[in-house]
Amino acid sequence: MSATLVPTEIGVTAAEAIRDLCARAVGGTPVAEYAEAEPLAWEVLEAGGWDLVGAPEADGGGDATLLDLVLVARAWGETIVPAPFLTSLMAKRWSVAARDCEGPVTFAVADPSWSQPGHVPFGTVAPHLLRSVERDEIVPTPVGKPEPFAPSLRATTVGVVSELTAQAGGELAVVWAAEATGCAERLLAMSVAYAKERHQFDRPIGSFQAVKHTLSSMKVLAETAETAVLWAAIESGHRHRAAAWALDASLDVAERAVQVHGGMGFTWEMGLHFYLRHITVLRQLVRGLPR
Amino acid sequence: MEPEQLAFASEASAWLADNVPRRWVERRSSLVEEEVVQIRMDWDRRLYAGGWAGLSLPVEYGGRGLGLAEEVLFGELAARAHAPDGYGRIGRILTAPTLIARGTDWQRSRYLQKILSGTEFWCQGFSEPSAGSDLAAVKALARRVEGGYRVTGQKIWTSFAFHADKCLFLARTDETAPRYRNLTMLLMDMRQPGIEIRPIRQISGGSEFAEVFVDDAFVAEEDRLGAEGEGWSVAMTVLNSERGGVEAVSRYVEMRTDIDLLLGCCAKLADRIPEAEEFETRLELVRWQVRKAITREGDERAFTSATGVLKVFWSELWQEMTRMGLDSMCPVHRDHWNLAYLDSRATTIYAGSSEVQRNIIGDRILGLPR
Repeated sequence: MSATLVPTEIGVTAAEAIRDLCARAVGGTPVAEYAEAEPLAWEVLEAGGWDLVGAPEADGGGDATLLDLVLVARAWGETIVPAPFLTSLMAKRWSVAARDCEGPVTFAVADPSWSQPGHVPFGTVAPHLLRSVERDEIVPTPVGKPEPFAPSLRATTVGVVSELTAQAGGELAVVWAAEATGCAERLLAMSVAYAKERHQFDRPIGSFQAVKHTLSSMKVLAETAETAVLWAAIESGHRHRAAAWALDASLDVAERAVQVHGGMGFTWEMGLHFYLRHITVLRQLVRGLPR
Repeated sequence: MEPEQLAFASEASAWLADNVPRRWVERRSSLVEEEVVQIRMDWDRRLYAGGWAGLSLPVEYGGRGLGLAEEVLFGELAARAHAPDGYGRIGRILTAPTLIARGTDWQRSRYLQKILSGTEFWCQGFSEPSAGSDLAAVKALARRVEGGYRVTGQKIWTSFAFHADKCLFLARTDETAPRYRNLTMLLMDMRQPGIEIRPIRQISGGSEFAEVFVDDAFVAEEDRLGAEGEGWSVAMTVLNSERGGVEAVSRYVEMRTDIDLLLGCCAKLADRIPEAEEFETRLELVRWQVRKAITREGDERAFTSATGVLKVFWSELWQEMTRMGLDSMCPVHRDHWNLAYLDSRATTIYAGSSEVQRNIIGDRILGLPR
């Protein structure tokens, strides 16, 4: 029993706007051509005020609910445009100092698997780092060691870890999981289109039950992963478990997308690996969040 | 939650606390089949007497006139209270909404109140020996006679047939018309000469389903549901209910009891709590998936998308849950898991096998080529 699953107007509007903005920046371009480039300048996001969508109204923000931000993050995840949008959005939701910054903001998340303790998405491009939510402290982003596994996340490792509250950690888990479910939606759509188009044995491969059932299972996962992030947004007590499940389900979708694309799926230029990499790193980031 | 929903929830919780049979909660797995049937039939009657039957059905037919949202809410509370699943589930979940969508006023007033009150129990005469997943191949023949039809044929896997008063019966009415246009849905009286029911022994040892042999049984004209030749489309209405939200919520209620056993006892014993917690996450997603579907009722495509994945999702999860229960070798719940494990093998077969469900998701939701 709990609150409504219906987003407010700002969530719907912002998600549409973000989808448009990404389409204008990279629409029709293969992900492999832009994942390592800079297709969307920070100034465009800032000019639209989209980085402030989740901030309080009194500070010029859009006062979006976490459920609204799920919609926004899903829209963003569809294209994995490499820009520090979601980290800035969340930092500016929690921190006055972040809202006062010019330029994008990020934070360092604990990750025990690196030689340095902090994992910073967009550490190579965001000049500001939220050091502590409680003390509202912003520092210049330390120059870190580039972590190139997921190019669309421009990550570094650094010597510090941001002090995020459990509340902030929960919200971030939901937003990153929602981003991953956006990736999953997009991968499913790409896979369905490919299975309709690609012919073998004189038939579209999507007409073979073996392939069809793989795609149907992807649909089951993508649908329920979306449901999981909506649930996570509404019930704070279940944030981490629902987000973790949505991330796992999204990765399952991504793996099957590679399989459905066959040999093409395994090529660098087809670009599915950028999504695969993106989702795996989001999973790692979420695991490092405070609870 | 809205104030009305809060009031509804607290009223429902209080009623459930007073009415869920203790014997069911405490001794469910060790009861003999006859007692299980009795408890489940009584539960339908108790729900009706308490005003909890047919929550989303119109008031004029004995329902409460509320929505799917209240069905989900009540399901959640009934699940926590470990309530039984009423024996009249075919009538309640399949016949009733189909009568409302496709029936005549006469049929609605004749049948709905009796379904909700647990006065008449229904079974579903769809599958035949040579028409399983290929349902359109049914052969049972209904011939026109004065005042109605005479029906002859054989049905199989008919759950609850042994105690059923009525049957939602899919028959062929035209031997020359093309496939999908040769069928008619009939509301058949099971208590008449010419109907023989042979229980089928299931892998679990129980006999919830049966073979039904029909030899020249009569169905009156006014008991035809929809027009002659429209049987396939009426059957699709039935199947949408059978694979949809209200059904999923009722399964959620049953599965919640199993997950509580795992988390409270058996998984702990087997040292598999994290896995059981993931099952619980997936189970809660069944309920949330229905809640999400409700918010999309205005958008047919999105609604179909949200409900279309439910059957595969809950049925496969249930099998994994019961297997863990079995594997736990819990000394307290061993009998329960032995039975539940075997019983749950049916979940991915009945009401549209997982294979058929995945074809439907692929063809109708994703638009893949056939």
